[in-house]
Amino acid sequence: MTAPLAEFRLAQPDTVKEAIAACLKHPGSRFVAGGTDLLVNMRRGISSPDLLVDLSGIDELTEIKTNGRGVTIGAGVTIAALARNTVIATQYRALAQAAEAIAGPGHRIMGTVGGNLCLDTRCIYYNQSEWWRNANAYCLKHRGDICHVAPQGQHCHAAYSGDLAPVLLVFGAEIDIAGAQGNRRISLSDLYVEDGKAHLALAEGELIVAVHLSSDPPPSGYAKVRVRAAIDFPLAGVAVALAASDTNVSSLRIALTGTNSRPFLLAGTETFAGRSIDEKLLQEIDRLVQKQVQPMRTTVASANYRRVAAAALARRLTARLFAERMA
Amino acid sequence: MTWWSTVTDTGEPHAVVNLRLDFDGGVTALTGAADIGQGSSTMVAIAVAETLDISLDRIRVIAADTAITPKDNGAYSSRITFMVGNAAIDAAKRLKAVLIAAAARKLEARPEDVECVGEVFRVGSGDQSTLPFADVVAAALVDEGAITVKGSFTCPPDFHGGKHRGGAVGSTMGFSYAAQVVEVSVDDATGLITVDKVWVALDCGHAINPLAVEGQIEGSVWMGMGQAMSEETRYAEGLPVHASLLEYRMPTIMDSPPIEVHIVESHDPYGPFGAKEASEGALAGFPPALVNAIANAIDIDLNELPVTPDRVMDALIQRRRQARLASTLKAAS
Repeated sequence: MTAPLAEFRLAQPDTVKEAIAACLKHPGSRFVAGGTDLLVNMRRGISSPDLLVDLSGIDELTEIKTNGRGVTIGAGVTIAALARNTVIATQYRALAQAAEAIAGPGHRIMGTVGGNLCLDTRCIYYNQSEWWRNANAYCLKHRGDICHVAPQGQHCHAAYSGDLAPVLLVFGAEIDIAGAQGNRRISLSDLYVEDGKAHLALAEGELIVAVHLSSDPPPSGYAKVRVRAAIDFPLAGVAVALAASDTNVSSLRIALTGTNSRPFLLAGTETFAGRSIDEKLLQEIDRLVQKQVQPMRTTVASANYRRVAAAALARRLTARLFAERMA
Repeated sequence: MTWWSTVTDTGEPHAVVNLRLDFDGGVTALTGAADIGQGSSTMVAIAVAETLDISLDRIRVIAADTAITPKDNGAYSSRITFMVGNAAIDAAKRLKAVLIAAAARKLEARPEDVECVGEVFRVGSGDQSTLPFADVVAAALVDEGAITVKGSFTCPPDFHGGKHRGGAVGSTMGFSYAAQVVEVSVDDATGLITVDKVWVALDCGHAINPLAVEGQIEGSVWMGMGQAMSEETRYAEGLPVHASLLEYRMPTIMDSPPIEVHIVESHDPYGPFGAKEASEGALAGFPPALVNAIANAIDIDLNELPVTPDRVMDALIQRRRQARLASTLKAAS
């Protein structure tokens, strides 16, 4: 039931400036990098831009630069290149773990950091063929008036399921966004909005060009649950960064994906500073996660499963990072 | 094959294979059996080469081209090796008879005195009375050019399915026997199941192509894993939510455990070279072995497939609730 890919034109700019100009000149156009998310959606008629602005030929986006202040990752760096970068693998381990676990090898070769951060939100009522969605009177996220997940409300609950974002959030990453007015730098957490229909705070013609990570990150880990060990999007994904002195927490950051319309930092972990890491603390983490995640019926797996699994992963990763530190 | 009555319930043979021999000494086998990755075309080539006692690389198989191949009933009931294999042997025997007759004319001997061993036709053991394959082919084709022969296979009546609806399809006559052991790890915090190792023993009759048998068994394990762990069809508002291969989840290579394969050979009196089949036998064992392994690990019998992580968690949560309830009741009494 897949319709043929609708016709579109392809612009292939050499610079970010040209890319932005091309996008602004043609309202409704879209940036494309690896295309592993956008092209699938275009095949399903979810997105039908008549112009794609291809970012893959812009060299300035494909570098990973390291200096004393930290690491700058170009938005065009592929997931595969990110996973095999030695600085990332040794210092920002959770980022390499997340990159290695994205989809399959082919997707990782094509997909990019920027594309993964801007991954469209997903829902069983949305990621279907044109015929399917038409038969179901479409949905709030695209062409329809009703959210089939929560028909009483006027809010789209499609879930964000990118793997890199939660890791970058626990590292306190900042991103550079380029637009017609020049570059602006924001905290990554400010990119995301809890709205499945419009989860990215990007204006028309704006694109992410780089991600900044500060130096000396704390030990980190990433884990997710999914039915298969590859390809599948996370039903819940958790990143943890834990700095500790002796047996006490100095700082603990936990971020989640797959459960809400945006990846988000777990609120309230700053109160754990100075606490010792014991079963009581792990139970509090479990409760915090279960309270703050908002999984809805957007996947075949139940919402409650995603809630419980997210909490279990957060608890486990924290305990594991602490045990590794003590080893 | 005709050592029994060829009267069928279907009014047609259960399998037909055509062979064509041309001047280059190549034999083209035409079969309607579709090779869907299970190796049926290789099996046909081996059956023909083995029967003719000629090199495998002389055989070219053209499968499932309806413009030129004879009709085949299809890939079901694990029947192709058994039925199409027997038809291929039958066709090869007929072609061999044509070649022996040609060699006999050339060697001025009686056909029953001519034997063919490894592409050499000979009478007795004298060097003077031998002919290479190419000369025999030339002799066989001298008058009429390329030769086509037909072979067929019909199950004996005892093996027909009877008069009930669907009985005439001609199920295979020889199903394999298989045993399977599955080792799993169950993560009781996330419900994720890891299949650590699988052992399979399969009695496939004679293993015509042991490498293919091994591959078939591994494929069966993966197919069984899909059935048992991830593949399902659910509906939302009357529409299938598993409508693409992203949601209809077949196991990936990352899910694949080490699979230890044991081929247990026997001899089926009706099968081609004594073979039975090597297709679905090793599939059926995986789901029950998996749920038994899970029961062994966490002491919960799961009766609903596929055993996805959410179903495992539901079962674990339900057990914890029951345990809490039981202890509350005990404290109250």
